[in-house]
Amino acid sequence: MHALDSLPDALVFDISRNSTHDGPGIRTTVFLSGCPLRCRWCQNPESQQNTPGVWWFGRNCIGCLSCIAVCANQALSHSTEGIVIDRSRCGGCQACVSSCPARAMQPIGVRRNLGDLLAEVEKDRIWYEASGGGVTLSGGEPCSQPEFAVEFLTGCHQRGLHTALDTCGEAPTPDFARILDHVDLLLFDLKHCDDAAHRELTGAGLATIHANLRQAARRARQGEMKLWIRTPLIPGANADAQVLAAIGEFIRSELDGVVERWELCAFNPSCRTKYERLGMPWQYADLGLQSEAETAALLAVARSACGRAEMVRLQGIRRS
Amino acid sequence: MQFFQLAERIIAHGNGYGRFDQLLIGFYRRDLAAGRMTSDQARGWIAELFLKYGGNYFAVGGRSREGKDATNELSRIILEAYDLNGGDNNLGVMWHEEIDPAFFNFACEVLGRHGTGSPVLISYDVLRDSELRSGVSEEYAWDVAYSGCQWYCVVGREYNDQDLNSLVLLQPMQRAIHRAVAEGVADFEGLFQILSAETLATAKALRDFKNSTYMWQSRVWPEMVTSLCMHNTIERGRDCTDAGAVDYNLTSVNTLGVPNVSDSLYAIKRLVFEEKRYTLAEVELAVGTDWEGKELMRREFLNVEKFGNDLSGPDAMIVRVAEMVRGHLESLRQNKGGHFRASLFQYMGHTYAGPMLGATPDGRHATEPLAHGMNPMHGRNTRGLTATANSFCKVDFRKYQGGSFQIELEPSYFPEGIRRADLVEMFARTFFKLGGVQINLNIIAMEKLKRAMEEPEKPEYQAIVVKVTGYSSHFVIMDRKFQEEFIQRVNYPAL
Repeated sequence: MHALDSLPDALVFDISRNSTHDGPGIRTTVFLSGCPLRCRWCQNPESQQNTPGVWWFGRNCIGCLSCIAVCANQALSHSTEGIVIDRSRCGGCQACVSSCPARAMQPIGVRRNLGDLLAEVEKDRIWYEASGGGVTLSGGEPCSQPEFAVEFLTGCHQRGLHTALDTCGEAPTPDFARILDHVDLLLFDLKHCDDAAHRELTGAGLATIHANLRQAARRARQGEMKLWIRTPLIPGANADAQVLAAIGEFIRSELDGVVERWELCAFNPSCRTKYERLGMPWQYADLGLQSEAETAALLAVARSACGRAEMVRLQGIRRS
Repeated sequence: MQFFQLAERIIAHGNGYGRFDQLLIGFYRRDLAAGRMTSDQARGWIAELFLKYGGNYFAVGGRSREGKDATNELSRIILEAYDLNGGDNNLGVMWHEEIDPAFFNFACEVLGRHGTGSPVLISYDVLRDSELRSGVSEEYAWDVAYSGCQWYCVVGREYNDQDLNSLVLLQPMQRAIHRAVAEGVADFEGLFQILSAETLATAKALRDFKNSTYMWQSRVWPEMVTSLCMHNTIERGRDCTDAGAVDYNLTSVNTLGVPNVSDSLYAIKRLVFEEKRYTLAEVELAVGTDWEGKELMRREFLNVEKFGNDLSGPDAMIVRVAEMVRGHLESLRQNKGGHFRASLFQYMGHTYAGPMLGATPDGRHATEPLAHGMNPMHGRNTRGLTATANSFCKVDFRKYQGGSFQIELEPSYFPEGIRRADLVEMFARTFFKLGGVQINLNIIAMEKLKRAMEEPEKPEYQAIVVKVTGYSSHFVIMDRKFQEEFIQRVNYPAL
């Protein structure tokens, strides 16, 4: 109990109930803030920081300016474009969120304690049992809050709930190992197989990721957990026959017989508004959906390269 | 079949068309055995009946007198006949734990394929238990049939007066707030007691109104064909609408505005009596003037936790409000001998009654519609379908005369590689296990998405969820360019 008493609250940026796309069945996905990677295409830019913040939803704003009045750091001002956030001054106290009557100021990252979160995910137990679902811990990178991840997943197991971990694999290997002890299904991202390209695109090389993946493969081979590989299809980065063939070849040679599913996920530009709202440039802002033909060709490459066509699935909306 | 067509045109109210598969199975088997027709012909004729007369309230499935699965070969043929046509229909499939799994999965497949709410999925055991609780004997209660939007009756023995009345719960609440201000009520319990008294007053007025119509009903609005189809009407020489004609006369009351009243009470409890941010007099003034000049105050009331999010506070309040209404209605008897039953449903009043009734302390403007039946107010259930279903099923529907659960889903909600029928079936089974009584499932129309793009601020569009890639998103908060792409992408005719 002493360990739990001193356990810091988690920083959570979203909780998604009734999720049908983060593992089998109906799931509650808990998204933890903070990520060591900076993937250029990141779909959740608000999840990168491991500190709380705020963002402004202009359509909800009624112009009462109560947010500006309560900000102790003078981080907020207003212009003809609406509320302006000076992120260098924002201390993340979220007083402006509490003061906003219109839900225009919203938190990025909320502190939640272990008991609250476990109670939250337990509410849908009947749906997990009916559908073969459970709880998925995602991010950000959930291993960036390792103490909490271990306790949370342990708590899920104590309650008999199936656990999945959605990870990029970039985490200190001892932390990763402690967390995997409580995982039934690992959703592991493989974005690229070339170390230099991976470093260029995400900010980190493959050494740690591959070490963690080998560890995961060992556990999967021993039947301790299941392993799914996930690959986002990013135009100009890895949505390319050669790159995909290399990933497939890696899966065939290094992970033979231990991967239950390989999911390809079509690129989606709908997060561009998140970048606008955060005032961050995004190189993919003008791209559209990928075409059905393009993704079908990539699917065929992946199926042939990994040697087990039936385990490859294509997810996400495409242009017909 | 011909007789059904005839009856369908003449029949008026107070009853449905019964359990289609039970009524026709004897004829079907004899004609098949005698070589008078084939099952293909039977399917074709039923499909033509549906095509011609559309929305018959026919029920299939359910249990037999012995409590066993009553599904037969015609149950499936009836669904196949609908499957040939698609479109609007009011078929109801009555589920129970022992129902033929292949048949129920097929029903879910048909529902998922057409995506327009047909067949309606209903929990037979909740219907039967509700009838038993209303005083129907065990000898007859097993033969209950889904028979209207969310109505049900015991075939041939019950005259269920429905739809032709409504208890508009907003008005007792408005009177209660007025009285509580005048009397200087100091706590929430005081307000609730007054609300209870005012609701009883409204229920009594409704009883008096119904009693006066029942004095005349059989003379001005007899239902002759229905009477011929019912037990004891000929023996007793009375039309089925007359007192003393049929075994069971029950009056089911559409209760309008339960979620709005409950959310209003919860907001008042929190902001007036607990946090003391406002006085009740200020609330009365603000809603009386449709929140004129009180936008900040309105937002505060709107931002209090709401029903439909699996939160204990607001969910407990709605159960309490519904039970209060139910208790009063059940305490009253009409002059046909039956009692009043609360129905957590409204078939259209919620869309047009709003402006006539004024603003409400849940943060609702007068111009906004009311919540649909017992479903959460538009845009206020923000934690996903399972959370809403959990909230909804905290009500014990065996004590009420129905309450349908409305779902609008985007096709992309269904993940690739999983049969849509299986997901629908899993949802339905779990919903019924939680105690739910009826599911109306829609897969959303493109026109609605287009309108949502034009007017994204409207609350009725807030709940539309679409699956994007690895995550789901509310349609209205998505990037406009993406919305356009999405609409182009969605292939509705293929559903």
